[in-house]
Amino acid sequence: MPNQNLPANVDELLQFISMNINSDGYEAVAKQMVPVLKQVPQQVFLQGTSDNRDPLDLLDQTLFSLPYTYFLAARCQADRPNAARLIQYILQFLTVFDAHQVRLAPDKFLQVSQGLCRLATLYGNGNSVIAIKPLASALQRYALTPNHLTNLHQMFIKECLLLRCYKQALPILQNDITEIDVPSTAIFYTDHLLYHYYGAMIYIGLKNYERALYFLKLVISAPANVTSQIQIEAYKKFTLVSLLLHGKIAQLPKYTANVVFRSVKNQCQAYQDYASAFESLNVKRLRNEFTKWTDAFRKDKNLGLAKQTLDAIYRRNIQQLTQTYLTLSLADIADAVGLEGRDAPKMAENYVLRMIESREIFATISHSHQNGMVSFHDNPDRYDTSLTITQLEEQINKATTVSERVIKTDRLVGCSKEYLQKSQHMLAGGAIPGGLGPGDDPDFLGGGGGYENFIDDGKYFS
Amino acid sequence: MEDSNANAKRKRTLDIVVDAPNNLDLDTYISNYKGHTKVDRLLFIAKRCPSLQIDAYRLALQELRDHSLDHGRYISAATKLNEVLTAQGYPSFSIDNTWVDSTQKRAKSLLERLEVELKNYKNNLIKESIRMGHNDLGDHYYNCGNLTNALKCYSRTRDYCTTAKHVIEMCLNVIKVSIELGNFSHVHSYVIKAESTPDIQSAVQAKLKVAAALAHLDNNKYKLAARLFLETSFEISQPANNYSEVISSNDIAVYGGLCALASFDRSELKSKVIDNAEFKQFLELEPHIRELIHGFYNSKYSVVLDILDKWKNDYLLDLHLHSHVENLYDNIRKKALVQYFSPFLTVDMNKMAQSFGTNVPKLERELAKLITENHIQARIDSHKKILCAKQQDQRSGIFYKALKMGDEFEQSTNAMLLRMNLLKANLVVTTNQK
Amino acid sequence: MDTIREHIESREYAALVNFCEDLELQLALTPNTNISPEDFYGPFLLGYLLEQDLPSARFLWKRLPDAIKSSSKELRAIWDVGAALWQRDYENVYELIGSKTWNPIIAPLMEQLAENLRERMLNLLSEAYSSIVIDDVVKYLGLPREKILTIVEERGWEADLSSNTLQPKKIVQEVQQSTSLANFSQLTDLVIHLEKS
Repeated sequence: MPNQNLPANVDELLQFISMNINSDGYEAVAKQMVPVLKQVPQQVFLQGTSDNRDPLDLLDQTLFSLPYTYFLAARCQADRPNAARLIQYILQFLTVFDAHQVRLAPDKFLQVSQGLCRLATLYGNGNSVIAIKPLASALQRYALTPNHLTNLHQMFIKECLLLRCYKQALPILQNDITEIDVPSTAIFYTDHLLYHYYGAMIYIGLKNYERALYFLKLVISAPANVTSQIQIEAYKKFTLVSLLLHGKIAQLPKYTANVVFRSVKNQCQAYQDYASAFESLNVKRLRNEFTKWTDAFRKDKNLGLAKQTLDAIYRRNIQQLTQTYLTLSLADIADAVGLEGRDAPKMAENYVLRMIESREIFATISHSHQNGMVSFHDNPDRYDTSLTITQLEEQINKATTVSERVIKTDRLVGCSKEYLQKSQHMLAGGAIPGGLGPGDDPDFLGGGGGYENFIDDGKYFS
Repeated sequence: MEDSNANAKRKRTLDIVVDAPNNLDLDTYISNYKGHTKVDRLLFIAKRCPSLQIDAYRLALQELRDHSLDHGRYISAATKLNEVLTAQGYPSFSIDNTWVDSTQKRAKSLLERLEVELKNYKNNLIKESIRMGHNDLGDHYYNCGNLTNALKCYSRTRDYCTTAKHVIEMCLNVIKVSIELGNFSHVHSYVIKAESTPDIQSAVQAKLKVAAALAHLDNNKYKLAARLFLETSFEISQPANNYSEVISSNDIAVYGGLCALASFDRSELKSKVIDNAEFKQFLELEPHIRELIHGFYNSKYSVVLDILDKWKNDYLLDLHLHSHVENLYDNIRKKALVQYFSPFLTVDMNKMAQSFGTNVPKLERELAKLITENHIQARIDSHKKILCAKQQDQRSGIFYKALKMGDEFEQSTNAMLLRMNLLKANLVVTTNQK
Repeated sequence: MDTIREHIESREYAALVNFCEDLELQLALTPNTNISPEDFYGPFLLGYLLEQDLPSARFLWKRLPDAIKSSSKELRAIWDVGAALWQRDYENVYELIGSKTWNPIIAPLMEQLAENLRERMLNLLSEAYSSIVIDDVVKYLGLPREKILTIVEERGWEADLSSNTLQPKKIVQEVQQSTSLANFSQLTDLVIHLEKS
């Protein structure tokens, strides 16, 4: 089929498309079609046939998924699409497309998905949530595995944010991204940064701060020669989420690029000052810093998050008290944690009650004496039930699975051209990490078999 | 218990004024010293203690006039004395201008003579004479109170030292001047230099230990300072070997004792202080320090606090100790609190407060701080006012850690996998990509 | 609408929420004038509240078209309950629920919401307090004093009317203690894995 004349109109194009199908299945053929489809002028995809029919009706959406993507993408780009009708076609297509074919034109598929979102806002009667669920299930089929990042990921999560459909993002977000395949997904480094940044925002909205922190760490510690603004913004959120979770700025992986460390030091002063105020556990100091930086927080759209830390500092202080006291009166608690006013003991009681419910502390409140008294306890979980065993088993299983994947990736990396080149380079310089050259068994986990070029020893524990 | 904000605390105590010392007798005290440190100490006391001001200035002036060529310092001290006298309505002190004039002239001609001599020696290239020449010039500058030049001259003798004795002499001179200048890192390096010479005399050894101890004290390293003071030979108290141009034997007892209390645990206190025959002799000079140490060791905390309280003003008037008093006292109190509790599972805070001369609410705050800083493994029962030892449940702790580690392992491994794959695909944040 | 009713009757709130999430999408695509926004969004919002998914309830409220928000007083009232829950102002929750006559479709959900909250509070209070002032229990449960005295008596709490306090009874949770053969096989697998790597 190479060197064929380009189809001049939609009739020829359709003929060309259907001619190239044979018994071997469409995938091999489709691959060869890509160069032609790329060259066909856009307006051809917008034409009706000579007998006045719409190509969208003529082509089978599954069988001809690749060209169909081109048609839909062109329609989405058109000036005045028939929104209602086009949405129906796209929704239908998203449920039946052949993933293998679509992966041959990832950028077109992205255009279709973006088109759907735009059409939904045009059409959606003020409520444009139409796109969310179809996109979620399409994304799940489009990705090679749930662990693969695609060019659709970040736009989907952004859409969830914009349309306030936070919960609907979870089926995608809950899979950790570990795999990258550029050819079938057309991703840039920004896809990784934005996906995890938006994902963190979803988790923040749903108050799953552990997960948010993990996502933000991925953004900040992404391989970098320069610092992206996304990383700066991620660091700002990272600071506040760290405070909510741990009361201090969490540690970043050691492999975080130096240039990023430098940039955040220069550009996130407000957040670092605020964090050290929080770490002092001094409520007054924190409030002063908060007032000082309110505008900065607002500008960064982090004011809500920052406000939560004003509440969290009391809880952090109460938690501290459990390490120091067996019993303490509510009035003394209020005093020690920096609550003020006539209602302070009652406020302290509310905090304690809330923390008991969320199992942040273990305590009993007593009102048998004039003033309320709180007894703090150790975690009553003795870890001696079958539940613990089940949990441990799960952990071991997970650890086994991931370490097997590490071994597999390690082996791939060890055989990759990049690694061999880098090893050669090191040999020339006389520095062989871990004393092992590339000729050694790359299966040897942790002993210097292959990651040194990418990660320092022991990094996967930090 | 190194205090991280020790230095901040030191700064705050710099300008403290002590109305009157509790025990100090100025004449007795100052008779232990000679030379610059005598003047330094007198002027320090004069600055901080109004009730001793006039006497201190007079003694300093006498010392300067009788034993130095430092007319500049004489005049400035006299001026200050007269300000005080005038303010209090006393007749002013008459400055000995004849002495000032003649000293000025004498100093000048002596300097010229020494410089000419040194020049000649240099021309003749006789090493020992050159060394002597620098040394004499250094002594002269020192007598005139020009410490910077004195230090330069003493340092220059270094290249002309031919025997171990010369090296020691050079080091001791540099150390003495550096202590006066407050340059303790210098002190450190010259102590090390001196100690590396062969066949060092025990009396010299003692001086070096004391000098090094002062350097550690300056650096808030109380434990190191204590060890060196405690290793100092009592020989230093003999007239032939004394170090009274720097420190008195009484000081060694006080500095050493306080630093030891602030930094040693109970067993160290027993082995390194109480059973230390050499140091016992120093303690004889300052019986209250001996009492303090024994009181602490025998857990008689009210005695300890009582003595500390009584002597605090005296220490605040000490040239080297004053800025460490708060730190040392804090540490001693903390250690006493920790030691008080150490043998028990529970302690009645009412009794404890009594022993420490405080009330229960204050004690509770002190204890809370000690627990937060992890000095005491205990928790406070604020309701019953009891301090209870923490029960460690290692087994639960390990399970908790194991579960937590499992989560972290999965996360960080996934992060690492992603990173490897990003690098493999060359998806790195750069400027030249879209 | 029938499905919504069925889920409400069978108290399957997770299913209710899932169904509503799909329906929301459908309605955006093909508006159905037979379904009034109140009858749909009301149960939807309450479904989230009953599932204790406050963030999702909040985001649903935020994404509701303004036209619907402003036209329905009842929806606003439901969200007021949600907002009170969000602020942990439980006293107000009961008051908001009790002070209004709700639509027939909403009423049973509201009743359930109050009941769930009471149950949750009773459990929390019995865990958190060794003694508690009765007036506080009144606030946490949103019930009159007499009613509370009967309820807690059933649960074995002691009342001390002289000091106006209740002594909650701790709920003892049953724990399973077992070491099964499966544990050993698990252990074997682990050892094999360690040997391999």
